[in-house]
Amino acid sequence: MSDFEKYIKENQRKFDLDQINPKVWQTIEAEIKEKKGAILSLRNSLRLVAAVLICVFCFQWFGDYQKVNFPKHLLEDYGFKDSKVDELLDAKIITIREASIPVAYKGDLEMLLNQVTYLDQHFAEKINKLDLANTEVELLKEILEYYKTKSEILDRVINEIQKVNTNEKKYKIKSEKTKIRI
Amino acid sequence: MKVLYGLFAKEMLTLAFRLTDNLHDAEDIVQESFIHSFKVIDQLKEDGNFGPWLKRIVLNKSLKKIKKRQTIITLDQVHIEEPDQSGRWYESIPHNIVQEAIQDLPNGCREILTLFLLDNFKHREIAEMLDISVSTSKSQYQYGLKILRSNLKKYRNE
Repeated sequence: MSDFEKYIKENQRKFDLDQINPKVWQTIEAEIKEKKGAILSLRNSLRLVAAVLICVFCFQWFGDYQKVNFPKHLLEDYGFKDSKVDELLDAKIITIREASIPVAYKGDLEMLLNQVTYLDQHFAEKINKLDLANTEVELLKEILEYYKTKSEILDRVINEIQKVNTNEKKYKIKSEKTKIRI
Repeated sequence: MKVLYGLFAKEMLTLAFRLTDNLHDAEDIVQESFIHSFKVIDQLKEDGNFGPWLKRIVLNKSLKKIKKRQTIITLDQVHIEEPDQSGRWYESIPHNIVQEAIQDLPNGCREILTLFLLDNFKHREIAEMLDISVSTSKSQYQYGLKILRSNLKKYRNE
Protein backbone atom coordinates (compact mmCIF):
# COMPACT_ATOMS: atom_id res chain seq x y z
CA MET A 1 0.00 0.00 0.00
CA SER A 2 1.39 3.41 -0.99
CA ASP A 3 1.74 6.38 1.36
CA PHE A 4 -1.15 8.02 -0.46
CA GLU A 5 -3.44 5.03 0.14
CA LYS A 6 -2.36 4.89 3.77
CA TYR A 7 -3.10 8.59 4.20
CA ILE A 8 -6.61 8.22 2.74
CA LYS A 9 -7.29 5.10 4.80
CA GLU A 10 -6.00 6.46 8.10
CA ASN A 11 -7.81 9.77 7.77
CA GLN A 12 -11.01 8.50 6.19
CA ARG A 13 -13.29 9.76 8.97
CA LYS A 14 -12.07 13.30 8.24
CA PHE A 15 -13.35 12.91 4.70
CA ASP A 16 -16.86 11.98 5.78
CA LEU A 17 -19.78 14.22 4.94
CA ASP A 18 -19.95 16.78 7.71
CA GLN A 19 -23.65 17.49 7.69
CA ILE A 20 -26.74 15.37 7.73
CA ASN A 21 -30.26 16.49 7.03
CA PRO A 22 -32.11 16.75 10.40
CA LYS A 23 -35.19 15.29 8.73
CA VAL A 24 -33.46 11.91 8.59
CA TRP A 25 -33.45 11.65 12.39
CA GLN A 26 -36.92 13.18 12.71
CA THR A 27 -38.35 10.48 10.44
CA ILE A 28 -36.52 7.71 12.30
CA GLU A 29 -37.69 9.04 15.65
CA ALA A 30 -41.31 9.30 14.48
CA GLU A 31 -41.20 5.76 13.08
CA ILE A 32 -39.68 4.29 16.24
CA LYS A 33 -42.14 6.09 18.50
CA GLU A 34 -45.02 4.91 16.41
CA LYS A 35 -43.91 1.30 16.69
CA LYS A 36 -42.90 1.10 20.28
CA GLY A 37 -44.85 3.90 21.88
CA ALA A 38 -43.10 6.58 23.83
CA ILE A 39 -43.37 4.69 27.10
CA LEU A 40 -40.39 4.45 29.40
CA SER A 41 -41.04 1.04 30.86
CA LEU A 42 -40.12 0.03 34.40
CA ARG A 43 -37.53 -2.32 32.91
CA ASN A 44 -35.90 0.56 31.04
CA SER A 45 -35.94 2.77 34.12
CA LEU A 46 -34.20 0.04 36.12
CA ARG A 47 -31.65 -0.42 33.36
CA LEU A 48 -30.89 3.29 33.44
CA VAL A 49 -30.41 3.32 37.22
CA ALA A 50 -28.18 0.24 36.98
CA ALA A 51 -26.08 1.84 34.25
CA VAL A 52 -25.51 4.93 36.37
CA LEU A 53 -24.50 2.85 39.40
CA ILE A 54 -22.12 0.78 37.29
CA CYS A 55 -20.57 3.96 35.94
CA VAL A 56 -19.94 5.33 39.42
CA PHE A 57 -18.38 2.04 40.52
CA CYS A 58 -16.24 1.63 37.44
CA PHE A 59 -14.81 5.08 37.39
CA GLN A 60 -13.79 4.94 41.04
CA TRP A 61 -12.06 1.65 40.33
CA PHE A 62 -10.78 2.80 36.99
CA GLY A 63 -9.11 5.81 38.62
CA ASP A 64 -6.88 3.44 40.60
CA TYR A 65 -6.26 1.22 37.63
CA GLN A 66 -4.66 3.99 35.61
CA LYS A 67 -1.61 3.69 37.85
CA VAL A 68 -0.88 0.27 36.35
CA ASN A 69 1.53 0.30 33.46
CA PHE A 70 0.21 -1.01 30.19
CA PRO A 71 2.45 -3.51 28.42
CA LYS A 72 4.34 -1.77 25.62
CA HIS A 73 3.16 -4.15 22.90
CA LEU A 74 -0.47 -3.53 23.85
CA LEU A 75 0.03 0.22 23.76
CA GLU A 76 1.56 -0.10 20.30
CA ASP A 77 -1.31 -2.28 19.12
CA TYR A 78 -3.66 0.57 19.90
CA GLY A 79 -1.44 3.25 18.40
CA PHE A 80 -0.22 4.87 21.60
CA LYS A 81 3.38 5.94 21.93
CA ASP A 82 3.66 5.67 25.71
CA SER A 83 1.61 4.88 28.78
CA LYS A 84 0.57 8.48 29.40
CA VAL A 85 -2.62 7.98 27.42
CA ASP A 86 -4.77 9.65 30.05
CA GLU A 87 -2.59 12.76 29.84
CA LEU A 88 -3.01 12.74 26.09
CA LEU A 89 -6.79 12.74 26.48
CA ASP A 90 -6.63 15.45 29.14
CA ALA A 91 -4.68 17.66 26.75
CA LYS A 92 -7.35 17.21 24.09
CA ILE A 93 -10.12 18.01 26.56
CA ILE A 94 -8.29 21.18 27.61
CA THR A 95 -7.93 22.21 23.95
CA ILE A 96 -11.68 21.82 23.50
CA ARG A 97 -12.49 23.61 26.77
CA GLU A 98 -10.31 26.57 25.89
CA ALA A 99 -11.59 26.95 22.35
CA SER A 100 -14.09 29.64 21.44
CA ILE A 101 -16.62 28.79 18.77
CA PRO A 102 -19.51 30.64 17.12
CA VAL A 103 -22.69 30.29 19.20
CA ALA A 104 -24.53 28.73 16.24
CA TYR A 105 -22.23 25.69 16.30
CA LYS A 106 -22.38 25.05 20.03
CA GLY A 107 -25.30 22.62 19.82
CA ASP A 108 -23.73 20.58 17.03
CA LEU A 109 -20.40 20.27 18.77
CA GLU A 110 -21.99 19.35 22.07
CA MET A 111 -23.99 16.68 20.28
CA LEU A 112 -20.73 15.31 18.95
CA LEU A 113 -19.37 15.33 22.48
CA ASN A 114 -22.43 13.36 23.62
CA GLN A 115 -20.73 10.44 21.94
CA VAL A 116 -18.15 10.57 24.69
CA THR A 117 -20.89 10.24 27.29
CA TYR A 118 -22.31 7.27 25.43
CA LEU A 119 -18.86 5.74 25.14
CA ASP A 120 -18.24 6.18 28.88
CA GLN A 121 -21.48 4.36 29.70
CA HIS A 122 -20.88 1.61 27.18
CA PHE A 123 -17.36 1.11 28.50
CA ALA A 124 -18.54 0.91 32.08
CA GLU A 125 -21.13 -1.71 31.20
CA LYS A 126 -18.64 -3.76 29.23
CA ILE A 127 -16.05 -3.69 32.00
CA ASN A 128 -18.61 -4.81 34.51
CA LYS A 129 -19.36 -7.91 32.44
CA LEU A 130 -15.73 -9.04 32.37
CA ASP A 131 -14.45 -11.58 34.82
CA LEU A 132 -11.79 -9.40 36.39
CA ALA A 133 -9.92 -12.28 38.01
CA ASN A 134 -9.25 -14.16 34.78
CA THR A 135 -9.03 -11.66 32.02
CA GLU A 136 -6.46 -9.05 32.90
CA VAL A 137 -5.21 -8.74 29.33
CA GLU A 138 -8.76 -8.49 28.06
CA LEU A 139 -9.41 -5.76 30.56
CA LEU A 140 -6.33 -3.80 29.49
CA LYS A 141 -7.41 -4.19 25.89
CA GLU A 142 -10.86 -2.87 26.72
CA ILE A 143 -9.36 0.13 28.47
CA LEU A 144 -7.05 0.89 25.56
CA GLU A 145 -9.88 0.45 23.06
CA TYR A 146 -11.90 2.89 25.15
CA TYR A 147 -9.02 5.39 25.25
CA LYS A 148 -8.50 5.05 21.52
CA THR A 149 -12.14 5.62 20.63
CA LYS A 150 -12.40 8.54 23.03
CA SER A 151 -9.27 10.04 21.56
CA GLU A 152 -10.72 9.73 18.04
CA ILE A 153 -13.97 11.42 19.05
CA LEU A 154 -12.08 14.28 20.73
CA ASP A 155 -9.94 14.64 17.59
CA ARG A 156 -13.09 14.92 15.52
CA VAL A 157 -14.39 17.68 17.80
CA ILE A 158 -11.06 19.54 17.66
CA ASN A 159 -11.05 19.15 13.91
CA GLU A 160 -14.59 20.55 13.65
CA ILE A 161 -13.65 23.51 15.86
CA GLN A 162 -10.67 24.29 13.66
CA LYS A 163 -12.75 23.95 10.51
CA VAL A 164 -15.47 26.30 11.80
CA ASN A 165 -13.00 28.89 13.02
CA THR A 166 -10.98 28.72 9.80
CA ASN A 167 -14.12 29.37 7.78
CA GLU A 168 -15.03 32.31 10.03
CA LYS A 169 -11.62 33.78 9.41
CA LYS A 170 -11.64 33.01 5.70
CA TYR A 171 -15.01 34.63 5.08
CA LYS A 172 -14.45 37.36 7.69
CA ILE A 173 -17.54 36.48 9.68
CA LYS A 174 -17.73 38.09 13.10
CA SER A 175 -20.20 35.94 14.99
CA GLU A 176 -20.74 35.83 18.70
CA LYS A 177 -18.39 33.32 20.32
CA THR A 178 -18.90 30.93 23.20
CA LYS A 179 -17.16 28.06 25.01
CA ILE A 180 -18.15 24.42 24.83
CA ARG A 181 -19.25 22.43 27.85
CA ILE A 182 -17.13 19.35 28.37
CA MET B 1 -31.23 5.66 20.21
CA LYS B 2 -30.32 9.24 19.37
CA VAL B 3 -26.86 8.72 20.80
CA LEU B 4 -26.35 5.69 18.56
CA TYR B 5 -27.61 7.72 15.66
CA GLY B 6 -25.26 10.59 16.53
CA LEU B 7 -22.38 8.16 16.72
CA PHE B 8 -22.87 6.47 13.35
CA ALA B 9 -25.12 8.58 11.12
CA LYS B 10 -22.48 10.58 9.27
CA GLU B 11 -20.27 7.57 8.68
CA MET B 12 -23.22 5.59 7.31
CA LEU B 13 -24.45 8.48 5.17
CA THR B 14 -20.97 8.86 3.71
CA LEU B 15 -20.79 5.16 2.89
CA ALA B 16 -24.23 5.16 1.25
CA PHE B 17 -23.49 8.38 -0.63
CA ARG B 18 -20.17 7.06 -1.95
CA LEU B 19 -21.86 3.93 -3.18
CA THR B 20 -25.04 5.41 -4.64
CA ASP B 21 -23.72 8.84 -5.64
CA ASN B 22 -27.12 10.28 -4.80
CA LEU B 23 -27.62 12.14 -1.55
CA HIS B 24 -31.35 11.63 -1.51
CA ASP B 25 -30.99 7.86 -1.99
CA ALA B 26 -28.24 7.81 0.64
CA GLU B 27 -30.45 9.57 3.18
CA ASP B 28 -33.27 7.12 2.47
CA ILE B 29 -30.90 4.19 2.94
CA VAL B 30 -29.56 5.55 6.23
CA GLN B 31 -33.07 6.22 7.45
CA GLU B 32 -34.32 2.75 6.54
CA SER B 33 -31.22 1.09 8.00
CA PHE B 34 -31.53 2.82 11.37
CA ILE B 35 -35.25 2.10 11.56
CA HIS B 36 -34.64 -1.55 10.74
CA SER B 37 -31.75 -1.87 13.18
CA PHE B 38 -33.63 -0.18 16.04
CA LYS B 39 -36.59 -2.47 15.51
CA VAL B 40 -34.51 -5.62 15.75
CA ILE B 41 -31.77 -4.38 18.06
CA ASP B 42 -32.70 -7.05 20.60
CA GLN B 43 -31.51 -9.68 18.12
CA LEU B 44 -28.00 -8.30 18.31
CA LYS B 45 -26.04 -10.58 20.62
CA GLU B 46 -24.83 -9.02 23.83
CA ASP B 47 -21.23 -8.98 22.67
CA GLY B 48 -22.27 -7.85 19.21
CA ASN B 49 -21.01 -4.58 17.91
CA PHE B 50 -23.68 -2.21 16.66
CA GLY B 51 -21.43 -0.29 14.22
CA PRO B 52 -20.34 -3.16 11.92
CA TRP B 53 -23.82 -4.66 12.06
CA LEU B 54 -25.42 -1.38 10.96
CA LYS B 55 -22.75 -0.90 8.32
CA ARG B 56 -23.62 -4.26 6.81
CA ILE B 57 -27.27 -3.23 6.56
CA VAL B 58 -26.36 0.09 4.90
CA LEU B 59 -23.98 -1.69 2.56
CA ASN B 60 -26.55 -4.28 1.46
CA LYS B 61 -29.19 -1.65 0.84
CA SER B 62 -26.74 0.52 -1.11
CA LEU B 63 -25.53 -2.41 -3.21
CA LYS B 64 -29.10 -3.34 -4.03
CA LYS B 65 -29.63 0.20 -5.28
CA ILE B 66 -26.53 0.35 -7.48
CA LYS B 67 -26.52 -3.17 -8.92
CA LYS B 68 -28.51 -2.06 -11.94
CA ARG B 69 -26.10 0.61 -12.99
CA GLN B 70 -22.74 -1.09 -13.18
CA THR B 71 -20.25 1.11 -14.96
CA ILE B 72 -16.74 0.07 -15.77
CA ILE B 73 -14.24 2.79 -16.53
CA THR B 74 -11.23 2.36 -18.74
CA LEU B 75 -8.30 4.69 -18.60
CA ASP B 76 -8.85 6.08 -22.08
CA GLN B 77 -12.25 7.40 -21.00
CA VAL B 78 -10.74 9.86 -18.59
CA HIS B 79 -7.95 12.33 -18.78
CA ILE B 80 -5.42 11.56 -16.10
CA GLU B 81 -2.57 13.88 -15.33
CA GLU B 82 0.20 11.59 -14.12
CA PRO B 83 0.64 12.64 -10.51
CA ASP B 84 3.90 13.34 -8.80
CA GLN B 85 4.72 10.19 -6.82
CA SER B 86 7.13 11.93 -4.49
CA GLY B 87 6.38 13.72 -1.25
CA ARG B 88 3.23 13.92 0.81
CA TRP B 89 1.75 16.95 -0.97
CA TYR B 90 -1.81 15.65 -0.52
CA GLU B 91 -1.70 16.15 3.25
CA SER B 92 -2.12 19.91 2.87
CA ILE B 93 -5.32 19.59 0.84
CA PRO B 94 -8.44 20.50 2.87
CA HIS B 95 -10.50 17.51 3.96
CA ASN B 96 -13.66 18.68 2.22
CA ILE B 97 -11.79 18.78 -1.10
CA VAL B 98 -10.58 15.19 -0.61
CA GLN B 99 -14.13 14.19 0.26
CA GLU B 100 -15.42 15.81 -2.95
CA ALA B 101 -12.62 14.30 -5.02
CA ILE B 102 -13.56 10.80 -3.82
CA GLN B 103 -17.18 11.54 -4.62
CA ASP B 104 -16.27 12.82 -8.09
CA LEU B 105 -14.67 9.53 -9.08
CA PRO B 106 -16.54 7.78 -11.88
CA ASN B 107 -19.17 5.21 -10.92
CA GLY B 108 -17.52 1.83 -10.61
CA CYS B 109 -14.12 3.13 -9.51
CA ARG B 110 -15.64 5.02 -6.61
CA GLU B 111 -17.56 2.06 -5.20
CA ILE B 112 -14.57 -0.24 -5.46
CA LEU B 113 -12.19 2.27 -3.91
CA THR B 114 -14.67 2.82 -1.08
CA LEU B 115 -15.12 -0.88 -0.42
CA PHE B 116 -11.47 -1.88 -0.77
CA LEU B 117 -9.56 1.03 0.71
CA LEU B 118 -12.02 2.48 3.19
CA ASP B 119 -14.05 -0.53 4.22
CA ASN B 120 -11.39 -3.24 4.08
CA PHE B 121 -13.15 -5.65 1.77
CA LYS B 122 -11.02 -7.97 -0.32
CA HIS B 123 -11.20 -7.85 -4.12
CA ARG B 124 -12.72 -11.33 -4.08
CA GLU B 125 -15.53 -10.14 -1.80
CA ILE B 126 -16.08 -6.98 -3.86
CA ALA B 127 -16.23 -9.04 -7.04
CA GLU B 128 -18.97 -11.17 -5.50
CA MET B 129 -20.86 -8.17 -4.18
CA LEU B 130 -20.80 -6.26 -7.46
CA ASP B 131 -21.02 -9.28 -9.72
CA ILE B 132 -17.77 -8.51 -11.55
CA SER B 133 -14.48 -10.39 -11.88
CA VAL B 134 -11.67 -10.10 -9.37
CA SER B 135 -9.36 -8.65 -12.01
CA THR B 136 -11.95 -5.98 -12.88
CA SER B 137 -12.18 -5.05 -9.23
CA LYS B 138 -8.39 -4.75 -9.03
CA SER B 139 -8.03 -2.72 -12.20
CA GLN B 140 -10.93 -0.40 -11.31
CA TYR B 141 -9.33 0.20 -7.94
CA GLN B 142 -6.05 1.18 -9.58
CA TYR B 143 -7.86 3.48 -12.02
CA GLY B 144 -9.78 5.05 -9.18
CA LEU B 145 -6.61 5.64 -7.23
CA LYS B 146 -4.89 7.26 -10.20
CA ILE B 147 -7.84 9.48 -10.97
CA LEU B 148 -8.10 10.53 -7.32
CA ARG B 149 -4.41 11.45 -7.13
CA SER B 150 -4.61 13.26 -10.41
CA ASN B 151 -7.70 15.27 -9.39
CA LEU B 152 -6.17 16.22 -6.07
CA LYS B 153 -2.98 17.24 -7.83
CA LYS B 154 -4.99 19.56 -10.07
CA TYR B 155 -6.41 21.21 -6.98
CA ARG B 156 -2.91 21.64 -5.61
CA ASN B 157 -1.73 23.25 -8.85
CA GLU B 158 -4.62 25.75 -8.98
